[in-house]
Amino acid sequence: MTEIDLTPERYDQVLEAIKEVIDPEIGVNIVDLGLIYDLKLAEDESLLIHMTLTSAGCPLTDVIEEQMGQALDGVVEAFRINWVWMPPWGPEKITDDGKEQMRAIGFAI
Amino acid sequence: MSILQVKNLHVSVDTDQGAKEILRGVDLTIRSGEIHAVMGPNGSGKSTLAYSIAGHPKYRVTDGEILLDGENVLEMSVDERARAGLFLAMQYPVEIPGVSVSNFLRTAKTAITGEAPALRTWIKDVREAMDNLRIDATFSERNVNEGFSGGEKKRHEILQLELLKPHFAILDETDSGLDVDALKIVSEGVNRAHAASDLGVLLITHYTRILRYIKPDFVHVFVAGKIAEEGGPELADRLEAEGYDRYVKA
Repeated sequence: MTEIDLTPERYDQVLEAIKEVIDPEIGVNIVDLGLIYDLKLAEDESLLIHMTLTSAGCPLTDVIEEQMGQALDGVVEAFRINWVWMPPWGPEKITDDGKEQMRAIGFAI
Repeated sequence: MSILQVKNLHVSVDTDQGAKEILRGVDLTIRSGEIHAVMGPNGSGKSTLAYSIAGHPKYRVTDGEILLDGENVLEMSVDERARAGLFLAMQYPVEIPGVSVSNFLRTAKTAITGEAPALRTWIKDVREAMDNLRIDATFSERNVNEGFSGGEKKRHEILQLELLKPHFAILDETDSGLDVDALKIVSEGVNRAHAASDLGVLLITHYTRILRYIKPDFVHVFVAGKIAEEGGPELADRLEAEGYDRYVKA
């Protein structure tokens, strides 16, 4: 299946919208946690979100999908999440903004 | 438009020799947007006035009242006073080991507004305020005031002022121990807060130096626990030239 790149502007626009999706366990958005690995367009032009979770087998995929639906409402026609486990997520993927948000809610990092 | 009124305030502290009266009938009214400088020699009771308004338990109000928009401030706990819109920048800010600046600021903001600020916008607001006060970004990770220099502590007080957006700010010798550069940065912060939210300011100081950067509407000379003279900014110029001797000897 061929995947098409988004334009940089479109990529940033979609990524910004996804920042509304909060990891329910940590309380910080999934973009700044470094959970989004890539965004592509599928052949049917739906958005393909390659993302991971902080731990494999995390039971929160339903919650994230639901939040994603709300965050992307009006931004894209359709989307699909492709759960990725390689490479595994690690705390080094958290952005500086993400670290700052975690500190604000009390994590000592 | 808010109004903070101090009426005939008498305050005592308990000492080994019994109760000692520090404030002996202070009258002061501050409205939104006004900047009042309270100037006086050491030991005149300036800080006692600040602490009494903020609600420090060491200071016992024996007579008089403090009203914020007609509400009795003296019946409020310290946190209630903060939520009502009062803010104190302390002369000697305390260290809080184990609590990061970042977490402290957000917890304080949440406590005052009654709801947690949206995390991403909050982080941006904090960063912008820190930049304005030339506070290094790494400070957010550090424990509150722990290992801060005198100037850094004072800038951190003004950071709280700018983020918590009170109606009235009492600045207790915020200028003491600051070099000229830090004094300018701190003054700019106070002026920004004043311009942004029609803040009322009670600026307590020993020196006229800070009044070059923060222009008071009213100047009160504080001697022996009460206001000895009141006037406009010109009074500060006179104090600069003549000192406090005239009042102390009288």
